[in-house]
Amino acid sequence: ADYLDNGNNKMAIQQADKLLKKHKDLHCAKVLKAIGLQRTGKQDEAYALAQEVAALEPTDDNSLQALTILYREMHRPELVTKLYEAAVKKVPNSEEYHSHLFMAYARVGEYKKMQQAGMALYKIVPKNPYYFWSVMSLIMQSISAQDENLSKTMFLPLAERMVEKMVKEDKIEAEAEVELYYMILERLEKYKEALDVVRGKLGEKLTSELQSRENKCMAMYKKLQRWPECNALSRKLLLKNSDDWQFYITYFDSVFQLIDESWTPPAEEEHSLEGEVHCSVEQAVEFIEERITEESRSSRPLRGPYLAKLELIRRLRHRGCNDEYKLGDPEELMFQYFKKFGDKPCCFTDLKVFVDLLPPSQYTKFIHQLLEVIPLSGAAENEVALPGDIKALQQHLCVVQLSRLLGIYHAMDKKEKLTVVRELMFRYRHGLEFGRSCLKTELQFSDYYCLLAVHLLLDLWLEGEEAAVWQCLTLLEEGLAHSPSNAQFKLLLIRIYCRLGAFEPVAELYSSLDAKHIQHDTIGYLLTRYAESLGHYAAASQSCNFALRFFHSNQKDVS
Amino acid sequence: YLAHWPEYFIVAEAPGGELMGYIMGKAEGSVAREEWHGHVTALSVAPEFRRLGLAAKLMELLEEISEKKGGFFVDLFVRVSNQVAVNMYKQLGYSVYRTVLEYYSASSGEPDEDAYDMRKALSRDTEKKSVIPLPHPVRPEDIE
Repeated sequence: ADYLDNGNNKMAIQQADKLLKKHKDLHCAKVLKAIGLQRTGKQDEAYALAQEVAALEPTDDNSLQALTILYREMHRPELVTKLYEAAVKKVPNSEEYHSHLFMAYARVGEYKKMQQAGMALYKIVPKNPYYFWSVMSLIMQSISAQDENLSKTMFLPLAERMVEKMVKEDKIEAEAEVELYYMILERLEKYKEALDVVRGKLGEKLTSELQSRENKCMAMYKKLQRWPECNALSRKLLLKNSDDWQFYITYFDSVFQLIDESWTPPAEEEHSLEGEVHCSVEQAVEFIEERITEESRSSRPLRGPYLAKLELIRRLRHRGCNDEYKLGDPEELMFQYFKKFGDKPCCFTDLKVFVDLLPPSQYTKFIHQLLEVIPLSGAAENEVALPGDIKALQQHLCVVQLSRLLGIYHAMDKKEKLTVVRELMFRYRHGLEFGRSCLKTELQFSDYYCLLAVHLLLDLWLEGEEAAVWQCLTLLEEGLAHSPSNAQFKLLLIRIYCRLGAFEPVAELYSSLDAKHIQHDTIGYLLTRYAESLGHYAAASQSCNFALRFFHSNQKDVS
Repeated sequence: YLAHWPEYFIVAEAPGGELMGYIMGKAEGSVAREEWHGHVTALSVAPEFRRLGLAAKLMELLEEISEKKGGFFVDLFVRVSNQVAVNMYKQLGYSVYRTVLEYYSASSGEPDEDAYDMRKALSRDTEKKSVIPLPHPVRPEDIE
C-alpha cells in the first residue's frame, strides 16, 4: 500500500503478486494490485480483477476501502453502492457499512436511497445526525423533483413532519437541524411558521453566522410584507451599523409602503414585534439626518448615511414630492460628499450611483465646482495645474472619471480629445513621482490617468481614427512598465492585440496575470477565443489545458 | 470551505453592487492543547475600495466569530516580503509568532518564499500564551 501512496505502481503490483502467490485469495492484495494496474493505465485488467473480488462480496475493511478508492479513480461511483449494498446485507447491524452506503448513494445523487439509508442508520444507532441526513435527502428529492407539485405536496411536508416530531419530543440538538427546519418551512412558503421558529427558542441555536437570526427575520418580514417589522428591524440594524447599505434600502422601501397604506402606529401597544416604526417622510428625514450628524463627529466617518440621503432624495423625486422636504439639491450634496470623501478611490463608484439625479445642463458647472476645491499648484495661463500630494491626485482623478461618465469628453471633437489625452498623459507621468516607493505588487497612484487616456483613444479608434490604436498600445506598455501588477493594463492589451490579430504577446501577458483555477473559466476565453483562429495552435492547446486541469481537479474535489 | 465553515465567508458589497472585498476563514485545532483557533485563509480588498478601513472591519468580524466559537487566538500566514500586509496586521494587534520556511511555493522559476505566522490572542487566552513567539523558524511539515 505504501508503494501505491508513493506512486510507485510497478513495485506495488509486484508486491501484490508476491503476496498472492502465498495467499491466493487475499482480497486486499488483489485490490491493491488492481489499483496499481489502474494507475498504470491498464483499466480493463484492473476492472476485471476488481470485479473478481467484488463478486465475492467482501466484508473486510481493507478490501472495501481499497475497492472504494479504485472505483472512485475509475469514475465508477455506482460500483461503490453495489459494494456496500452487499456488505450491508451480510452485516446488517454495521453502523460503519451503512454510513459508507449512505455516502456512496450521495456521490451518485440517489436521494431516495439516501433517505432510506439514513433511517436505517438511525434505527441501528439513534443519533440525530442520521435522522437529519434522512430529512436532508427528502429536501434534495424535493429540489430535484421534476414535478413541482410533488415537492410541495409530498417531499417537503414529509420532511416537515419528521422535524416536527423531533421538536415535539424536544430532541433538537444542533444548529444545523434548526437551519434545516427553517429551510423546509421557507421552501414550503410557510413564512409565518419559519419566523416563529427563528424568533423562538430554537432560534437561539443559530449562533455561528453573525446576525443570522436578524437576517432570517428580515427575509421573512419581507416575504410576509410586514412593513412595520421591516422598518423597525432595519432601523435597529442601522443604529448598530450605519454603513449597512442593504438596510437603508429596506428602511426606505418599508417607509414608503407604510405611507401608501396609510399605516399609523397603535395608540398604546408596541408599534411592531421589532419595536419603533417610522411611517412618515419627516421621520425618515430626521433619522437620516441624525445618522449624518453622528458620523460627522467621528474621526473616520462612514459613507453610508451621506449616500442614504441621496437615495432618499431619489425616492422622493420618484414619487414627485422632493421640494416639500427641502433636503437640498443633489448637486450640493454630491459636492459636499466629494469634499469629504474625494480623496478615496471609491468616491467615483459611490457618486456614479446617483449621477442620474443631476440635470444634464448642470454637468459642466458641477465638474468645475469640484475642480475648484482641489488643491492644485497655481499654474500660469497655459500650464496644467498639478496636484501636490496623493490626496489631491486622487481627488482630481475622481473628477476626471466623472467627466468621462457625464459624457463631457464624448461631446468634444477630435482635436479637443487629443488635447485631453496629452494632458492626461502629462498628469500620469507627473503622478509617477508619488509612487516612487511603491512595490512591484502595488499599483501606481496615477495609473488611472493612463487608462482614461487609452480609453479616449480607443473611442477615437472606434470612430475611425486608425492611428489611435497604436498610441494606445505604446501608452499601455508604458503604464505596464511602471506598474507591472496592473491587471487592467494587461487585460486591455490582450483585447487590443487580439483585435489587431497579433497573438504573440498575449500568451505572456496572460500568464503574467497569474490566473488560477476558476479564473481560467471566467477570463480564459480571452486566449482561447482567438488563439486558434490566429494560427497559434500550440498556445491554443496550452490555454485549453489550463482550463481542463481546473475542471478535472474540480470534479475530483467535488464528487 | 463553503461547506464546512460558511459563517466565515464574508463579502462586502458597494451600493452600486460592486464587490469591495472578502474574507475566508476556518476554525481548527485541539481544545485540550489550547490550540483551538480561528484562521484567516484569505483576505482581499479591491484597489478601488482601499483606505476605507474595510480590511480591518472584515478582520474584526472574523475575530468576533472566532470569539463566539471559543477560540484561543486568530492566526494567519503572510509572505515575508508583503510589508504592506504585515504592517497592517501589526496595526490590528497581530504579532509574528513564528517564521515558516519556504511556505509559499513559487509560480515560475523563482525560489519558494518564507511566511510569517502572525497571531492575535482572543479573550479565552487570558495569559496570552498563544502569542509568545517561537525562538526558531519551522518548516511547513512541522505545522499541525
